[in-house]
Amino acid sequence: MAERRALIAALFLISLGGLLLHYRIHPFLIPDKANPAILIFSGTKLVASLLSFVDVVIVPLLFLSRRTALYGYLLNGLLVIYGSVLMAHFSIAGLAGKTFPVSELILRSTLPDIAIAWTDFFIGKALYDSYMNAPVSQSA
Amino acid sequence: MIQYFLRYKPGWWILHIIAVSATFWLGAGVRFTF
Repeated sequence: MAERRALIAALFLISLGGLLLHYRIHPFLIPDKANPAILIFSGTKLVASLLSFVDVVIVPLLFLSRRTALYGYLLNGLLVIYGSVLMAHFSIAGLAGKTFPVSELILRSTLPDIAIAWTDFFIGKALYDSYMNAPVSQSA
Repeated sequence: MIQYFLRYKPGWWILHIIAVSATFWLGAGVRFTF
């Protein structure tokens, strides 16, 4: 179905955008300030890229077939919940670290990013519903 | 009690135990420094 292919493309592209943004904003190998030749590894920042990578590679693959769409939907939902909790935690930690004032809580926190993560979830939901509502013969 | 556990397939339990463990592991592991 053409609509389903468009939804899978949307899911792939929105998660690819997420992965690239995460890697750009929170690179997990950072040059040491004292000696830029040495790279410092951050496990927390790796998690940001790793979960986004799973969202780019595994979730669209699971959504390709009706048999695995349920697992795609579950994994996608789990990743969006992890993303929401971790991004909100990151913002609260930033607030405590005074990286932005409380008055800018809506625009400069990760609230817009959390909204994008939920868009990813609802694209997955539309895909899952399209598999479950279609007759088995049409749903590959 | 046992009937409660048998209401769901083993895969359901395995999946949930993995998800809950991963959540705790992530929560314990992340450190946001500013």
